[in-house]
Amino acid sequence: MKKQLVFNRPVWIFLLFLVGSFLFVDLNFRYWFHFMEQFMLFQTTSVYWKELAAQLGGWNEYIAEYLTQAFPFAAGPAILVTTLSGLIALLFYKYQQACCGKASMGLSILPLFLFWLFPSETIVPMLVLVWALVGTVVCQSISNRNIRMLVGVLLVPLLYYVAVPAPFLYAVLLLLHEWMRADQRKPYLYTGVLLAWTFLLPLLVMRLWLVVPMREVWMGKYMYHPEYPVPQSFWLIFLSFPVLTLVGRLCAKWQERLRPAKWLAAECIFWAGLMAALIALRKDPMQQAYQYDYYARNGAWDKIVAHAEKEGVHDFDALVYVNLALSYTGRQTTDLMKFPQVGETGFIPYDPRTRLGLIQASEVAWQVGQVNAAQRFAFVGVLSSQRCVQPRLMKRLVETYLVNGEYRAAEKYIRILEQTPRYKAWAAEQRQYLGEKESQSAGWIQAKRAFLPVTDNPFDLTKTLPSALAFLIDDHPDNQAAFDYGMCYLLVYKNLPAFMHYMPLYKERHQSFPKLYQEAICLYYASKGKMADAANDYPIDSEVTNRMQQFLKTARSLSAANLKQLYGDTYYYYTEFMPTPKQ
Amino acid sequence: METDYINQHKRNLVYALFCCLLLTACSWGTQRPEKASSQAEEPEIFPDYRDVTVPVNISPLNFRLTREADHQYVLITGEKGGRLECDGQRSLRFDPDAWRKLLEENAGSSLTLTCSSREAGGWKTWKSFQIHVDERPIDSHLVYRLIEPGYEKWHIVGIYQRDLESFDEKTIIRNDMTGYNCINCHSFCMNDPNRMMLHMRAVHDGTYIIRGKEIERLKTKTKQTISNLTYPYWHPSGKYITTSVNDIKQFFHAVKEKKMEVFDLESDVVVYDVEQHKILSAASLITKDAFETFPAFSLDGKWLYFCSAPAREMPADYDKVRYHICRVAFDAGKGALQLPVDTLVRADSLSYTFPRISPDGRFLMYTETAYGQFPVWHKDAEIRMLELETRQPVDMTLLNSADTESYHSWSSQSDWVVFSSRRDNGLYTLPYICRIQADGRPAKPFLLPQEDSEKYDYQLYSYNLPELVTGEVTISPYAIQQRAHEGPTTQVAFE
Repeated sequence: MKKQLVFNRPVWIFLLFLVGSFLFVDLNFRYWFHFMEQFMLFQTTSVYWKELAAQLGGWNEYIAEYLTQAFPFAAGPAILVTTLSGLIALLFYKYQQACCGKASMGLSILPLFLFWLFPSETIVPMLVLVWALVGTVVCQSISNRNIRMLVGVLLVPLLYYVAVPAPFLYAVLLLLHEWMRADQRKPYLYTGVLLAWTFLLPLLVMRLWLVVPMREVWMGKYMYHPEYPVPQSFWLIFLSFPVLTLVGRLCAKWQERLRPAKWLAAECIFWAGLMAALIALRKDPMQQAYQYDYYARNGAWDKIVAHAEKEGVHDFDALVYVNLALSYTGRQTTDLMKFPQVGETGFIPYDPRTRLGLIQASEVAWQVGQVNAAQRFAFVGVLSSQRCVQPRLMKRLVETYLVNGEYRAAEKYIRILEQTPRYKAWAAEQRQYLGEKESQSAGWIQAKRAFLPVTDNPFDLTKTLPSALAFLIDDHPDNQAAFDYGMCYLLVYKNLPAFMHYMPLYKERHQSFPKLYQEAICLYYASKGKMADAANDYPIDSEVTNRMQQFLKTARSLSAANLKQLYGDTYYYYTEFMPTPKQ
Repeated sequence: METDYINQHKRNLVYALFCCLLLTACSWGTQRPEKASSQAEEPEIFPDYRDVTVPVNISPLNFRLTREADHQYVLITGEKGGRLECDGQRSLRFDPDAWRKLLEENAGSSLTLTCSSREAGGWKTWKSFQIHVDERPIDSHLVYRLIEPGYEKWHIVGIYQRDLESFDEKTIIRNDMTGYNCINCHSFCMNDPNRMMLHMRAVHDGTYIIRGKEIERLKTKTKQTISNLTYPYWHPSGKYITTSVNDIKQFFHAVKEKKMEVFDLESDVVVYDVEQHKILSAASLITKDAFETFPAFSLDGKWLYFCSAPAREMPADYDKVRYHICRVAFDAGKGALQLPVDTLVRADSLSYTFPRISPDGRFLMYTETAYGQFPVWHKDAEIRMLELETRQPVDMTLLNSADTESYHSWSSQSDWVVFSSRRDNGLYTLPYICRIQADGRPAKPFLLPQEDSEKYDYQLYSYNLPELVTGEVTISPYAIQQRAHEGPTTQVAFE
């Protein structure tokens, strides 16, 4: 018994796969799944349940949304995806056993690597596979042929209603099983009936029950975003199961010749190597942006800056979050030049249309005090998402409506969020601020109200950032976030005259100036040949002046690398050696 | 002995099952208030159906008490007889057959509703209120577009029809069947469900005219007009449709008091000949010095009503544009307008839009706002009415609220109107139905009833362009879908 367990090849390979799957998701796609969780909203209301129950695949979606609540937790995505992968592998293994007599765990886990290559946005496709395989295995387990066939046909509408497109895979696998086990009595009639029933059912549903588009009647509403084409990976994943079953059948005799003990080590090494290679090579190209989005969502702005300092910034989306994090942590005017600046799109996405872009635009607008714009991008972000829900942006909507004093609209979203297990505590807390008097007790609401725009203007923060910021600064020169964003924008574009236009305003309110401003002022005065006057007009630290003078003296004599090492974080280095972003 | 033991167990099992069934049956029975304390105030309910006037054929006015309660109960007694009771944990839902019978029995009189709630301190019975049952039925169906009340992006847009006598809602067309395009501006000829038009924008774009089972797809942009046909209204003969052509733009406000602005850079009014497939130059109001929009025919077909404002520099003067409501004679035989233009409502300090004439020709209903012609985002927007013969305004206070009231549509018999209002939450537009009495005075309007009154709490769609029709729209959504994907498109001419 002990020997059997130790040398049981499927168990070892299965366990190895589980470990590999966990590591792969946790190391490479954890933040992707954290990000995707924001686009689902499990609710406990009967209205919500009825709405889903009335749709094809609605039950599957209900379960998927329920399970997706595990995604925000650190190892939640890895555990959930690994569990589902393991379940699919086991069911497929069981199915192969029934078809071929002997099954291969290697073949059973093989289709799941397609989820590694093409990570899905939700667990809906995985659950669909589970439904299809559970149906198939249940059917297979019935020994009486006639009953088995009857159950096979009867399960089709159930699977269709619960988890479309599961019945299509189910029917194909069921027929493969019947043909593989058939002896003298070939199941021609059963094949005809099952195929006709399965593939005509959607058309019957369209005519008799639901008004749905053609794609939805075959695929369901929640497998993939309905506005985009069905990804190729869908066909690969779904076809891999019947194809591998046939492969398993063909290789059955060859498998029998292998002695488990002899090949176990080699097989384990092969699978471990394959998984290690995929873990090392199949990285999420957007990982940094999603990671920062996750930190931003949790208010961990320090973590963004710390990570960016350590790892560098790899794309525009990540840079938007870095600049936002600098603003939140009060380091924008000291550490801006530590990070590569690309201009306007490094501060806020231009005319955002993507999921991430709309979140970022709302976050930046909220930070600089343009509450209407924060609300607008949050609103568009919610309604343009696949399921028309986005709890994070719905929270932002609540906040913006509270700040604007639109309590009934705030209550609408509070009521929705209160019906979710994950957000109900937050929503219930906001309920206390519904009302003019009540909202005054919230410090954050008062703080936002203090900087609400007074002068109306049509400028879109994402298209005309400087003009929109100028209005915010003119209305509230003490709006530090807007002011810093505005000055940083001018400095990144090397517009020193415009920057200097605002400095007297800053001087009126501040005793000391941040390092970035001091360097820019010095540079401006130096360009006029009056550097000595800078310290007279503005509070410039001697350290800043001395360092700049040192730079001016040694700039030509130092190598580029040395220069960058010594002065790379200064504004004058940026002005001298970095190209001006295109406007 | 063993057999006895098994029998005993079986018997116990049967008893237990019987008790369970009995308990379940008891719990299904109505829970009436016991030892209730009387309250002097009327209960707060959602939707607010207190003292509303409803048509005799309306579906049950299901509602809920808004206060925290373990259980709710209502007893309805009819002035002319009949009673109906109902209870529930979260909401009160009436049996449709019993409701219908009660309304028919009490047509022309009132129902008295007494609500009770079971709270921590026991049952409370609230002061009774009334619902007035008007004997005049409303048109059987309401057609509306459901759309997210968004800014510049839409996702799922659909035009639906709701049977007002039940809770059945059916799809006329949804944009997930037509490539997620924009579907808008549905319009019916004289409340006739068989004569309809709508526009599609982006993919499968065009104006779709539906007459019976026939669907025509039109390309409506011509060299002489500034855009595709936009805001439509049918001529009662069904031969013409008047529409505006608009160069529509929008921008977003920075201050909290305002959200967004929709305005026209240019706009004109034209008349389209449905049979000849041409825009009639002789019936077009194309001017550079004025913005004309939102046209409508009178129900005798002899007058063309429209909004008109002196042209201004846009968007700079967006808040200075004020639209008058004007009318001009229309000769349906010749397909031509006959000047002069008569100004019915002069925009001295406010702006007027959405003119709609009652089918009996007595009243002009329109929307009043501070400026512009698109009041959907204007909190101050109110519905007004003018008696055409005397040109005297009718007091519409009872119909309006502190929030936006915008689009409105008459029933075929001129006795009911449906209108859009944001009074519930200030954000989502919901349809309210209002009885217009013989002298023009409105009764207190009521929100379109739903089977589950909680639906409005969680629904993330606005009801847009509610239109009353006299029956079910029978065209299949698949037929519209198929027409969008296939078949010829007719280019409209301008002659």
